[in-house]
Amino acid sequence: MIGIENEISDFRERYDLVQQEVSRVIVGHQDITSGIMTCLLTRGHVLLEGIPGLGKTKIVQTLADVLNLKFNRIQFTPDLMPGDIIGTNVVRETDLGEKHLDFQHGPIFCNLMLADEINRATPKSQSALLEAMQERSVSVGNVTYKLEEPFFVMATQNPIELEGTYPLPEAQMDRFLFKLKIVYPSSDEMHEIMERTTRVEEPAAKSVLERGEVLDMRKTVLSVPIAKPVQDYAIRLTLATHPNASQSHELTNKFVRFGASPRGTQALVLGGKVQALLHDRAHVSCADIRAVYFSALRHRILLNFEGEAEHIDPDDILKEIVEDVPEPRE
Amino acid sequence: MQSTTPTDRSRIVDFLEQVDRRLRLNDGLVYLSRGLWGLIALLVLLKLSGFWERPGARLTLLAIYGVGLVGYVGYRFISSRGLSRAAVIADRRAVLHDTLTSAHAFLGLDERTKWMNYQIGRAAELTEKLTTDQIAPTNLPGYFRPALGVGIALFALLYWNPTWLPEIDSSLLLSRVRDDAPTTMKDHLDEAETLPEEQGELTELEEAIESLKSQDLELAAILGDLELAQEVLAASQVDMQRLEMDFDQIAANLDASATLSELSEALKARDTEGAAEHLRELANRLSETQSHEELQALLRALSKAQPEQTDLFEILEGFDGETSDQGLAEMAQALRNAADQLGQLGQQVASQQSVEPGQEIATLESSLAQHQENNQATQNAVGMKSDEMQMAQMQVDSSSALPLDVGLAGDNIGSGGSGSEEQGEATSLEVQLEMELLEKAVRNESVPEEIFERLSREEKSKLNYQTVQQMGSYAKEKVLTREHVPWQYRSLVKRYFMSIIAKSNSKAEPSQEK
Repeated sequence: MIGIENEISDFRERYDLVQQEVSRVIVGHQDITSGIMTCLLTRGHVLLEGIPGLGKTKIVQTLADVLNLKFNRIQFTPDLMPGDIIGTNVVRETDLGEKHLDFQHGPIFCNLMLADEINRATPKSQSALLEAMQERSVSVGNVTYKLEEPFFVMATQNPIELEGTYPLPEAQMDRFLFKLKIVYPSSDEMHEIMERTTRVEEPAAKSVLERGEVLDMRKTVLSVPIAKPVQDYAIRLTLATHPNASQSHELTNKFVRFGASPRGTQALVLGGKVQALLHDRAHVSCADIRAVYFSALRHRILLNFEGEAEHIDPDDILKEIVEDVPEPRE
Repeated sequence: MQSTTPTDRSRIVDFLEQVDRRLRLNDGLVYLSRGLWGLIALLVLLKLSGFWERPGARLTLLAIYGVGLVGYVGYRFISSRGLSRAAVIADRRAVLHDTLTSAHAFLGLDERTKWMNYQIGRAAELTEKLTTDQIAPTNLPGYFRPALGVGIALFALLYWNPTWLPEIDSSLLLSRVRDDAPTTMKDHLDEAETLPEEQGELTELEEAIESLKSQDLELAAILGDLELAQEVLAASQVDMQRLEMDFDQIAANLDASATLSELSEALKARDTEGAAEHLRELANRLSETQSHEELQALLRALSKAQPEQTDLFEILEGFDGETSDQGLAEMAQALRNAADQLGQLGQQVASQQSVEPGQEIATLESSLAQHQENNQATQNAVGMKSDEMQMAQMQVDSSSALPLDVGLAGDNIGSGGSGSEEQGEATSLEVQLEMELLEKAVRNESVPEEIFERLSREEKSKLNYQTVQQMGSYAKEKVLTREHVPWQYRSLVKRYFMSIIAKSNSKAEPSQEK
């Protein structure tokens, strides 16, 4: 039993270390950092959404510095081709004059990949990420290349400049474990940002976590058990987003075309496990499920025409659902 | 894999069983408290219904209730709803974040990981720090003690002072209802007695009323009698329309005689009392020579009019113009009788207009129908007849026709000295037909509503003009009303039209260049 206690405490120490180091550069946004770390530790990917200037790219870059992992950034543009992401075969000539095809690895071959403004690329280029995100591999011709673990995609998108953008397909959206919304900083945070960023020396984060430690933390997360009543609660929360089902919510029937997939429930359970460890528990509680509920399900709900016309926010529907679905019954 | 120690399992299970027992006890106390209030209600019911004075029945009922209550409370206490319920309640009340719920769920698994065993061990340690009183303290409901006190006090009062709560005689309620019914019926029958008596023909109605008062008749027979009385009354009504036509015709014929103009005016004004008074004066002045001319004029008027009420004036018609004393005396008496009959006729008309016998009988019938619902169909039939009578009365009272300015022009054509005809001043026939009035009103754009509606009111038009004005105003408002677009769709509608405009402009531009 001592081993598990140590495992939990190690996990928390490492996690806190990352948080502290990120907070040297990033002011506030602890929940965003926590969400990104949760996705990293549960083999997921994260989508950050926020208006320009709120530090989306800065957070991801800082996290890459702290984790000491191989980091690549791809700026998605309309003329970006799949080969620009995954790589391509090029003709090489040996010293003897023989020619052969040699695969030139694209920027996707890394541990942390920042897909900046992912919705500016065409669906063709966006889809180049599908296999990599789910299977952790890339197929070029007849050859499949495995990606090195951990492979973690952090994508950003701007919700207001929709001109000339390509909204992410539902299949791609579903592959992101969390969708995090970045909001404006508070007044105190703004003061802190001004003090840090308008001087000669800007703060920099140092690497505090190695690749092996990240993989250990992943194992710890997956070891946390979840009791069936709590898992049933997570499933009921997911089923409530399915329209015209036996457990669907009233608002769901009215405004939702498609609800969350089983990947949504997986996201709830995995995110709950990280939350349980952070709260020094060896089991997942309903409170842990609720802590990641909005991030895990908001991008998996597809509104119908009524919902779009009335500008319904999926978060409003999820709020009603989480208030109405009861915890394990007495 | 690492197995859970028996100590951890037993500690968790024991704690959850204690919590479960306490929860069941609390549930039992709740049901017992409610049962006590039910017992109080039962005691009061026993006393009011008289069972309290019969010890056997009282003991039996109380025993049945007591055994049932104890049995139900005992069943609730014995039947466990599972330790998972206790675990959930304990987690919630002690804010344990599903620790005991998870541990209990893990205990039920055949295979457990070391993390599960670790969690069970932590939960077992936690139970050592918790007590049952913290999770589920013994909770006696707030209304248990008042119920117990009231129950004991009530039982003591009933036992030592049996007269404290008097028994209610159930027959009192029935007798009050029985008293109420005849009182209400008597009121209606008294009102029915005030109806105008029809000479001998209402005897059946009177008999029915008397039978009702004596309550000898069945209600079905009463309703049948009332229906018959309704028909008798309908037949005995004065034909107002025909009577008014007779009055108008006689008055028009009397207009030629200047001496009988007052009688004519009285008939026109439907002043039967005044007309009767004039007839009496004529009878008194019959010996005078002047009165003979008046009598002749009256007879001419009667002969031209040929009124329906011939029984009133037939004796006058037999007058041959002789002026003998005997003849004059008979004539005077005939005139007085006619005056009396005219007066009675006036009273009958007045009473018919003020009192609606049909309505009174309908009221009486509705009162009876409350006591006998099976005769509903019969009552409806009588009520419909009453409505038809009222409709006929309304038609008689309908307003007169549109006044027309019809003037009489003289014949101004004369003969000149030269033998040639000279035409005098042109005459104008100031007659305007209805269509001319309408055309004029339409030209002036001021069509009075009554022109349209009068024909409908008189039921002479095929089209119901009374609704034309309303329909017209509604149509005008509807034309001016803007079509409403829900606010949530306005942006979509706007975008749609903007896109159409953009396309149409882009198509139009090349054509303009060409």
